[in-house]
Amino acid sequence: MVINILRALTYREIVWFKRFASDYIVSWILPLAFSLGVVFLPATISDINTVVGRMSSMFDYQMDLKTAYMLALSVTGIVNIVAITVNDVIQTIFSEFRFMEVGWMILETTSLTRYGIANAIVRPAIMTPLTTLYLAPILAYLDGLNGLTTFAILEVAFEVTAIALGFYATAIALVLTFYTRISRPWTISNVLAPAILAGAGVYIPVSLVPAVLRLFAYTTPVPESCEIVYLIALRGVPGELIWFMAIASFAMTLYVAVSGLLSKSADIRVRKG
Amino acid sequence: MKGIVVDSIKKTYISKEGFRKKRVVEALKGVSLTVGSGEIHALLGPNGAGKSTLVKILATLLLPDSGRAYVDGYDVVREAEKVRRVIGIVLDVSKGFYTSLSGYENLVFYALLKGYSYQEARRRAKEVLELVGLYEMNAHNRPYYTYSLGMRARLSIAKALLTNPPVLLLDEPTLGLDVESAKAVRKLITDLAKEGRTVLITGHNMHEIEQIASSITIIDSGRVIVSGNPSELKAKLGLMLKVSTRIEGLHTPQILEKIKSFIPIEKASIEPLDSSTKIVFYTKASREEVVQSIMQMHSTLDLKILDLVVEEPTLEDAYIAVVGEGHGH
Repeated sequence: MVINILRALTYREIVWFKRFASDYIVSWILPLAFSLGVVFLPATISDINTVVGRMSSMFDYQMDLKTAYMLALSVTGIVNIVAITVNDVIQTIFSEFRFMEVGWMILETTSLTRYGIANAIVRPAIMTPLTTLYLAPILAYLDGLNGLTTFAILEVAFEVTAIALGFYATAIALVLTFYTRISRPWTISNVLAPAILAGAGVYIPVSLVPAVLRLFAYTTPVPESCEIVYLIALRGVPGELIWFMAIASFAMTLYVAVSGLLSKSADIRVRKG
Repeated sequence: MKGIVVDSIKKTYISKEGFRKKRVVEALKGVSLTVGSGEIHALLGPNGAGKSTLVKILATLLLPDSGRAYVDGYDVVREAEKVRRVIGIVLDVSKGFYTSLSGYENLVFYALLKGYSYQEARRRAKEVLELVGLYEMNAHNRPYYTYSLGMRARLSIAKALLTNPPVLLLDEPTLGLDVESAKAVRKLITDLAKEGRTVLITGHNMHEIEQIASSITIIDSGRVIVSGNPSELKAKLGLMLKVSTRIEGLHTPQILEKIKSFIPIEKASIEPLDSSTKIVFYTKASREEVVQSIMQMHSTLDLKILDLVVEEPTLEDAYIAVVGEGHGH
C-alpha cells in the first residue's frame, strides 16, 4: 500500500529533521548571507542605487532597495531546493541500495516502483518548507502581511518545483544505482545541482544565459521556477502562476513516467539478481 | 502445507564482465527440501553453495528461474505479498538499517512500511527490542552506526520478529558474534521454535547448528548433497565411531587382531607411550559392539585398560565428509 510507504517516509523525514536540525540551520544562514551579498557586494565597487537600478533594468521592473532584496532573498529558495533535493534524493537512494543495504528491508515490504514514487514526493515535499523556512520571518519583516502572503505563494512554486525535481533526481538515482558501477554518486549529484542552477540563470533572467547552459537546465522546470519566483517577488500573485503550474505538471508527468519505468525495470533487475 | 517446501528450484546469475563477456553462475541447480512446521532446519554449505540465494528466493527478494517454493502454503512467486506477511527475515546482520536512525526508529519505520499504525508500530518496536535485550542494554535510542556487531544482530532479529511471523528465514544470524551474544541468539531461536515457528537457518558453526537444528540440509555448488536429522545424516554418510584406548600389557598388534575378530576396523593408529600404548581406531560398528569387543579382549588377554573413549561423529565430521576438508569450519 502506497499510504504505508508515505507514512513511513514521513516518519523517517521527521526523525532526520530532528537529528539534523543543525544542518538545516546552516542551509538557512548561508542563503541569507548569499542574498545579502548579491545586493550589497556590488555596491562596494559602485553604490547601492546603481545596483538597484541595474537590477531594475535587468528584470524590467522598477525596484527600490527593499524589493531588490526581497527578490534576491526569494531566489535563494530555488538555490536551496535544487541543491538539497537533487543531492539528497540521489545520494539517499544510492546509499540505501548500495551502502547501507536498507534496500532489502524496502523490497521485503513493497516494490521499488512504489517506494521510488513515494520517496520522490515525500522527501522534497517535507524538505522544501524546512529548507525555506527562513524566508517567512524575513519577508514578513520586510513587507508585513504582504511578505507572508508572498512567502505562501513562493512555497507553492517551491513545492511544485521540488516534487518535479524529486522525480527527476529519482530517475537519475535509479540509473546510477542499478545501471552503472559508479561508487561515488556525489561526484555526479554535486555537479548536477550547480549545472541546473547555472543554466537556469537564477540571479539573471534565463534569456541572458548562454544557450549551451540553458539547454541542460531546460531538462528541468527550474528555469520556469526562477521566472515565476521573480514574478511573485516583484508582483505578488502573477497570472503566469497557472502557466508555470501547467509546465511543471507536464515536466512532472514526464519524470513520473521515466522514473516509473526505470524503477519497474530496476525492481525486476534486482529480483532477478 | 505449512512450513517450507522447496521443489527443484534453479537460479542462475548472469553478470557482465566488460562489454562483451558474460559470467554465468549457477547458484542453485534444482534444490528441493522440506521444512516441517515448528521445526528448526539448518541449511549448511560452504561459501558460494547457494544458501543465501535460497533464503532470498524464499523471502521473495529474488525470483527463481524455475521450480516452485512455498512458505506457509503460499507460492513465493505468485503469492509474494502473502508470503511477505508470514515471514521474518535476517539477511546480513552487519547492515540493512539506516545508520543515522536509532534501532527503535529503524523498527518503527519498518513497522509503518508493514502497515502498522503509528501507535502500534511504536508499541511493537519497543516489545521486540525488549525481547532481544537491546532495551535493557539501553541501546534502542542510540544511532545504528554506534552498534556493535552483536547489537546489530539482535536488531536484525528484532526486525524479523516485529510482525510476529510464523516463519523465520535467518541467514547466518550469529555470524561474527562473540560467544555470549551467539549464545543469546541461539537461545532466542530455540525459544521461538518452541512457540511453534518454523525456522530456516544458515550458518557455518557446526557446533551451534548441532545444538539447535532438528533437521539439516547440506548443499554444495547449488545441489543438495544430503538431508535429514543430525543422527540420520551421520548414518547416511556411514560415519564411524572413533575409539581411543590406552592399555598396559601385551603387544599391541595382538590387541588389534583380537578386536578385529569381534568388529570391523577401518583405520587404526598405535602410539607407544612411556609405560602404556595408545590405540586409536575407527569403526562402523555400534557403540555397544565396540564396548563388548573391548570387554571380550580384556577378559581373554592379559592386559590392563587404562582409558577408553568412544566418540560419536560430530556434525562437523559429517559436513567435512560431504563437502571436503578444505571447506570445514
